[in-house]
Amino acid sequence: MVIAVLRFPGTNNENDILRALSLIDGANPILVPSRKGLAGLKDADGIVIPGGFSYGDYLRAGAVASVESITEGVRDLAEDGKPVIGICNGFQILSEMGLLPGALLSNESARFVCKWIYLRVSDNATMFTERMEGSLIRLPIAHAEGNYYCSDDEFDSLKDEFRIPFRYCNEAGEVDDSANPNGSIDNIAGIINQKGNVLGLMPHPERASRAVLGSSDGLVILENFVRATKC
Amino acid sequence: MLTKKELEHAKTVLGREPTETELGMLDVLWSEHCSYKSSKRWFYLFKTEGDNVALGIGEGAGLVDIGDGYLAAVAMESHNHPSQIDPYNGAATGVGGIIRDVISQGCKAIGLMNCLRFGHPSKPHNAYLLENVVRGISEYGNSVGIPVVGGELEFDDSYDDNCLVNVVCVGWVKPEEVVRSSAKTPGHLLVLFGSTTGRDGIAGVSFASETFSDEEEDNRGAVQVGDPLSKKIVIDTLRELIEEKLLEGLQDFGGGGMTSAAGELARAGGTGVEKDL
Repeated sequence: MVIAVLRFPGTNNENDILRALSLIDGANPILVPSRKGLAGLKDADGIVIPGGFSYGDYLRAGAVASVESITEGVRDLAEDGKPVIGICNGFQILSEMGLLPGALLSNESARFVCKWIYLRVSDNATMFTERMEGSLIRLPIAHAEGNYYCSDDEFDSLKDEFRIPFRYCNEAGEVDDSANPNGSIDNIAGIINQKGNVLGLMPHPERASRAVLGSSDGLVILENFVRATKC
Repeated sequence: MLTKKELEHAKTVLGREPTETELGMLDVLWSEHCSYKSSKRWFYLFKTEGDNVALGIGEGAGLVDIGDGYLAAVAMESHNHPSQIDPYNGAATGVGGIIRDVISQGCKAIGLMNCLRFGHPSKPHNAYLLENVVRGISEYGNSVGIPVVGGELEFDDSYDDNCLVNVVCVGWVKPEEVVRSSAKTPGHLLVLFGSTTGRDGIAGVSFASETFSDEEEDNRGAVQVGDPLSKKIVIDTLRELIEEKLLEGLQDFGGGGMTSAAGELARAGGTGVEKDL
């Protein structure tokens, strides 16, 4: 299945994603520079928006990329129920686009944070977390604006609709303040849309896709994503 | 600044007084930054030849054969003066410059390192320099997607007035993709691409090569402001140009500007360049 890996000017995780996806049977990842516009997405069965600094993160992280014409194609695919993942800067772009609720504010520490963290995967089944429900996984984060924020109403619906698949936790799997690396509401690390086919997350599954990188926990998320492109 | 002796030499070679433009060009080309006129005499101390050396001294990066059809590229550069004046941008553009040296050889840049010397950080100004130099290096590397994989740091009072900021970039390339700094076909056009030059960075090499004076603040405008977004776009563009085999030669556009870049390309190719300013 053709997976479009978007590259905006300033995106810099595209090769990591392409390499991680190439490890997965049935995945045919292609690099799509955003200048190709809608035509670049015409064969896509799924989309990954990688991390980096799209348009230098000028104005606000992800704000400029979110109004590029290619994002109309992302919207169309998401509407069709095709899987879409935004990682780090990709998550920021999806939230700027309004495909996901809320916003990613500056980290509470006001500093860039780059480290390995633990995530508690929610018990509820989602397209992206099959075979890992309720588990404890380890992924790296690297961001300055990963402090997830949303309104009370949005938070209530995220919770009530089981749309928070990933939350920061400690090594023992406890979700508490001390394990929150950036100040996110309720330790939120990743959320999905109402339809369940659009995932945004701050941690980097592609950087934990091979044992040599320190963990291969992230590969399962990407495998689930690839499987979903076949539906 | 040109010495009296250099000016005399220029007059002898030209057989007349240099024009204002020529003086500007000579000032840049014969600056320490571009010509290494004072440090050149020590270059013999470096080992630059060997069975596995694919490209020694003289271009953007040294290339060493590491087997299995790959060459490793290594380049290193100091950005001491700019970092002393404007530590964040001085260090950031040092990183930008050294990445440029590696990618302009056709290589994929994959790692950064640094070697830093400061006066003791108990003095506030040293602490300020340290914090901003480190931030400049890490934020630039992070923004273009090239990790800082190592470095070393020492403090000594002798660096109180002049910190040392050396940055290293490592890359790799397949031998058939190496791009040389030469323009050898008459009639070809030189294309200049990359980020724009603003008021920042003008005559930066001449400033960087001078001995410090009390006018540090006046020189701040000579330090270029880092632009990692443009650098990432240049990296991607270059990759596409190389893959589509559209390049005959390539020269990075460093502190020596067009004077240096175009001149080096033409000289290496045994051709000349016409420039309309």
